[in-house]
Amino acid sequence: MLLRSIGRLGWVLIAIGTPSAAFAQHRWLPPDHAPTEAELERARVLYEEGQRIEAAEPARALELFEQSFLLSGAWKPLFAIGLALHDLARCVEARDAMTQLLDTHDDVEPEYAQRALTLRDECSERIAIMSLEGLPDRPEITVDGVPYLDSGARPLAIEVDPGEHALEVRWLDADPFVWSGVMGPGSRVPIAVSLSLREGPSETSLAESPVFWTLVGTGVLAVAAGAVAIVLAVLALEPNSDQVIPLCSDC
Amino acid sequence: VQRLLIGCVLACGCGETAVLELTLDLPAAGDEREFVYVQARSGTRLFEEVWSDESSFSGIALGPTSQRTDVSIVAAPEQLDSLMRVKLRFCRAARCDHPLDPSGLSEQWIEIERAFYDGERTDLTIAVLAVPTPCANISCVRAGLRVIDKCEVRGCTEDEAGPFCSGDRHLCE
Repeated sequence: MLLRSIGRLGWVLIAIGTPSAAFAQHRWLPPDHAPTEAELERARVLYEEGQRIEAAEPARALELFEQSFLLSGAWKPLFAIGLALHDLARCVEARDAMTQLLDTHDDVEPEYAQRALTLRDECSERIAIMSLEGLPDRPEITVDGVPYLDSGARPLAIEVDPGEHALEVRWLDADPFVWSGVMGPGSRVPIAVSLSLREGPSETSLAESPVFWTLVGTGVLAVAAGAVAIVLAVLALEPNSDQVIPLCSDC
Repeated sequence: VQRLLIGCVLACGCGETAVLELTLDLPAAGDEREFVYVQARSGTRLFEEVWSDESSFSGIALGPTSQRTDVSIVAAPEQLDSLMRVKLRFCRAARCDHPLDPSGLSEQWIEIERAFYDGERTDLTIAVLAVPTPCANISCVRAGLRVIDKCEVRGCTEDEAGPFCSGDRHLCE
C-alpha cells in the first residue's frame, strides 16, 4: 500500500493537454535534499537487491528500484525502473520513466542512454489509445478501476497498455457508461460515450416496496451478527499493552 | 478504543490474529536520544528500506535510568509464517520526526525467525544495555543486527524459562 507504496507515492500524475489528446505522464520523485552518505548507501543496497531478485520477482524489484531512486535521485535506479516496467509490459509508465531519465539526467552513460531511447520508442509504438467521444463537462472517469484525470480535451485520448481494459464514466446522476474490451498494440479505439440523466424513483414508491424493507432488515441482521463475531474475536486475543503496533507488510 | 479498533480491523478481514508481547529493557536516555520508536515489519521488508509509518504508536520516552516497557505487536494470519524485522530507533523526538533524527542512525535492528502463531499469544524480552552509538552508514547499523531464533520466543507453555521448542519445532507449531 504505502510503498507498494513509495512506488505509488513516488510518482505523480501530470495532465498534459493537446488540442486533440490528453495523456497522464508519470514522474518519479527524486529526494528533496542532497542525499547523505547513509542514504546513498541505502539506495545502493536497495538497487543491488532489486537487481538480484529482478528475474524472479520483477514487481518487488521495481519497488526497490523506486525506493532507491527516491533516496538517491541517481540515473541507474531510474533506468532500472523503466526497464522493469518494460519487462512487466507496463509500456506507458516505461516510456515515461525513460523520458524522465533522458530529460533530467545528463550523466547517463551513452550505452544506457541509447538503450533508453530504444526502449522508449519501442514502448511508444505499443501504447494503445482509447479515444472518448461525446464526453460531458467534468465527468468522473475510471480506467481499470483507477480514477483518471480529465484534461478537458475533446475527444479525450487515454493511453493504456495493450490488453484488456475496463472503462467507466460517471456524470451527475446519469446511469454510468461502462465499456470493456481488448486494446491491440498501437491501436486507437474510438469510444462513443453515452450518458443520459435518469429519473429517480419517488420516495413513496421506495418506502412502500417490500423488497426494499426485506433488504434493509437482512442488512441490519448481518451487521449485528458481524459485530458480535468481531467483538468475540477481539476479546479472545486482546493485546496486553496500551502501546499496540500492527505488523505491517507493505508500508 | 485503539486496541479494539486495531483488533477489529484485523479480525474483520481475516479471522484469527496473533499477538507478540514484546518486553523491552531499555537504557537511560543518551546524548540527545531521549525516545525510542519501535517499528515492526514482516520479512518482505528489508531493514535498508524506508519504513513509512501510519501507526498510532507514540514512541517511548527514555528516563534518567534504565526501564522496562511493554509493547504489543499484532499480526494478521497471512503474516504468521514470515520472519519479523524490528527497528528500535533512538531519536530526539517521540516519533523520530525531529529534523535532525534522520541524519544520525542510532538504531538497533532485530530479526526474529518466527514470532507469531495462529490465535496464540507469545512473549519475548529484548534488552538493550545502552543507546546505540550513532552510525555514519548502514553497514555500521547492520553490524549490530541481532538475530533471534524462534525457540527463544515464549509461547504455548506455562513455563517461563523454556524450552519453547521440541527439537526444531516450536511448541505453538
